Amino acid sequence: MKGKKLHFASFSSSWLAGLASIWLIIWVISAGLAELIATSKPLKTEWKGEVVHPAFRYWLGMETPGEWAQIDWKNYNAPQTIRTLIPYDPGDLDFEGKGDFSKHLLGTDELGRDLFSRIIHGSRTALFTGILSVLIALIIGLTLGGLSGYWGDQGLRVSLASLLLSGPAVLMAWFYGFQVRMKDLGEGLQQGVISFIGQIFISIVIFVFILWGFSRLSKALQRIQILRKTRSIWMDILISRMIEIKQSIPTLFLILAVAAITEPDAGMTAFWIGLTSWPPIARFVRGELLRVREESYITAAQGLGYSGMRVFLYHALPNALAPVWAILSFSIAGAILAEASLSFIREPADVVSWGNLLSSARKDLSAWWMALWPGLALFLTLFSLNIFGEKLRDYFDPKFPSS
Amino acid sequence: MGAYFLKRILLGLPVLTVLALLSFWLTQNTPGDPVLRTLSEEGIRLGNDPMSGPEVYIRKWKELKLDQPVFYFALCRGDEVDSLFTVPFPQDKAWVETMARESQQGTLALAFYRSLQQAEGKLFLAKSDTNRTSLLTFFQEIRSEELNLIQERVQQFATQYPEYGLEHWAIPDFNPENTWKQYYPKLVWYGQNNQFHTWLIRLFNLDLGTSFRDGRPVSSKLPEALIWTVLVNFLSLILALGVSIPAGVYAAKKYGSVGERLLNGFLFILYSLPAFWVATLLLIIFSSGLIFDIFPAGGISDIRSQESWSFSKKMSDIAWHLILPTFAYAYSSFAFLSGQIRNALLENLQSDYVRTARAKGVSEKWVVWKHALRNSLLPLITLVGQILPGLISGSIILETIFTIPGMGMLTWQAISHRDYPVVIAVFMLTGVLTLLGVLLADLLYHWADPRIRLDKK
Repeated sequence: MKGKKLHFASFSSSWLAGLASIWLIIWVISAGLAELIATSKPLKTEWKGEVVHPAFRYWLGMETPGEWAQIDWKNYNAPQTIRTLIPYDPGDLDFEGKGDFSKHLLGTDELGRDLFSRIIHGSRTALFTGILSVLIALIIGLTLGGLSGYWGDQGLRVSLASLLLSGPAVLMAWFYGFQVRMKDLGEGLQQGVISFIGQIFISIVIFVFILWGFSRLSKALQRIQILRKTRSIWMDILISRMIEIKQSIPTLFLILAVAAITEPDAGMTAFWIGLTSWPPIARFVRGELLRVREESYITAAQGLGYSGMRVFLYHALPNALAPVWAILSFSIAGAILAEASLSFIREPADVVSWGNLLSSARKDLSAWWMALWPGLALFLTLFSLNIFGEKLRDYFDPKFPSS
Repeated sequence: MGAYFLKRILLGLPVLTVLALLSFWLTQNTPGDPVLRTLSEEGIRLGNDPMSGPEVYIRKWKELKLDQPVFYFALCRGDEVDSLFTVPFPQDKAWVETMARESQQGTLALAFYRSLQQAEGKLFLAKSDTNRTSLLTFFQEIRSEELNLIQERVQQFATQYPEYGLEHWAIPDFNPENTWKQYYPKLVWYGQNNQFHTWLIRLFNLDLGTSFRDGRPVSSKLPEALIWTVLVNFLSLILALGVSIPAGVYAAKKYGSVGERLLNGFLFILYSLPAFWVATLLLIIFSSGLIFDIFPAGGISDIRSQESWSFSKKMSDIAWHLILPTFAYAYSSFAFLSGQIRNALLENLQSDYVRTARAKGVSEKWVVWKHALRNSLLPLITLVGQILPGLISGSIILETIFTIPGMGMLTWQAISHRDYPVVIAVFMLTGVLTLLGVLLADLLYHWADPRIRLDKK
């Protein structure tokens, strides 16, 4: 059911799109300002005779006096104290106030942690997952879709010299890019997803650099007559097979199986979702490029003698991106849903996520509020993103106009 | 036709190869020592320490073919030991690896380990040897010794016990002058005597192994689970089509009306509802007793179900249990299916044959339901291709919520208990089902519309 098209053009009227945008803005704000909306630290209070703003300091990651770590902010009493909207940390245990709806607006979980606060902080996990995984999927999807759509099965001709060198080139690039750096990559993995991606980036740079070096070598080798003959590479067949392979492995299943080996962690989950959700993007780019490459402005650019890469990057690709922007919204929704489903079933203890909150309701069905509110937040986000996607598609794809 | 099948199978090979590699990679990275796990399954407990029964450990290790290389070839760093697989114990593996890295002399490190192991093996058998205990302790201690002191310690023992030939041992130099070796690649070819090959041959013979959890053969666990998944999916497909076809026909006939827009909006909301949320809410509303207590909260039959119950009573019991799951499976596809039917129907209602039928005086009802709808159902065939692999993947979460003992629950339990024989079987089965699904969809298209040629695809 990947990449299915739903045409609700007649339905997504503008007032709904307006409501959807309002919800999306609320969502992004609560993700960004979670520490200012839901925290036990006061916005403004008095400490040692001075007026201080603990919540802001923590939010901005500013230096705080050493003694602050010991202060029990929840019960901190001082004149002029202004509390945040929800004066609870997502991890605060409150056994006395458990299930007390007058203290906790939306209720608490089985350990007495404030549900509202956890939902606010969960919005950040959703936003982070949505953006990171779609970025990764976009990079892979654009590359593969571009290669197969623009160059196709005939377009990419390489010399015999390059073909002969490609085997050792990939081996060397893999060796110096990844194998030698295995230790650094492992350390990056332990430090969290950002440094892991950084390390992978360095590896990819080395990888590409070595391949580039080999391409220069092959240029030199082409002085020999016999090595100058060219063969076309079946890029399209190759990449279509890759998409087929990916489609035949259920995403959720794959991520669960891999996650059983590695530590459950919000960043790695997003990484894996991104790594497995590129096929729709690749397919859309490919389809669009098949059309674009026949346009006269591409022929004109080629006729001017521009290099293949330049025509692709500056002329073909920008004109093929419209459908991608349109499905980006759906991709984000898909990634958020995947993350929620994963944390619903896996229940990683340290990740505050909407799916994780919902799993408490599964364990105890009488705790209806644990199912209702996080689920509602998730549903509203998915619904808004889908509506938004419909609008974007109407905008980019006039074939299905809004009525 | 034959050419078509051949092509399909050839195209399927890469898919299966990648799936096999992926599953093999998973087994390789399973936490825990495979030898110890197999031994404890057979009732021999060594605890967590292989050294408490080295002979038993090594025998099993050889039996599991773990003394073979992992793959056909390996690309390793110049300083790495290319035949580390010949070292049985995990602790020793790590030790040899460290020695190789610090000395940049992998072959020498392995040779040193070999001589140590051989001396140890001889001592184990020589029960009458007077120096046995002190030497065995020495061999154990040297493994945790600081690398720079190894040379000195071995020298000491060599002079103390000259009859064991310790002075001939080649000990790597742990302060190498040049460290460039780690920066050049080494490609080692192992040939077909490797673990992957052995594993693949077993897979080809459909030997799926036994489950780690209950020791039952995987091939008998899969069909049991598959029955329930197929049943629930089949019921939900009927429900989905039963709702979507009338909805799609209505939407096409009344395209653009207020009623159609409302229906559309409602279906769109349904589509955006996360399935696991709906499932949880259904359980809270209908089975928790907070609001209603109509349906059972999970499972497939009443715990009080008895052998003495009549067949019809058993069936109605199961049906009662499957009502909520069926709805939870089906509702999200209402929007997609009815949208497909509506679009196809809108197109078909414009076509020549419909105009002809209308001109002949065929009633509007007959035109829509008999002529146009039949042709509009063609795109749904694609669904058939997706249902087969979806049998496994789509149901992991819903089956866990409703505790239906189907493929999804089996898979999830296998994954969370690291029961890899089952996981791999499901993995490979998914690949095969995907390929079968594509094949089936193609054949169905051809059957429904003979103008679609198989060999032209």
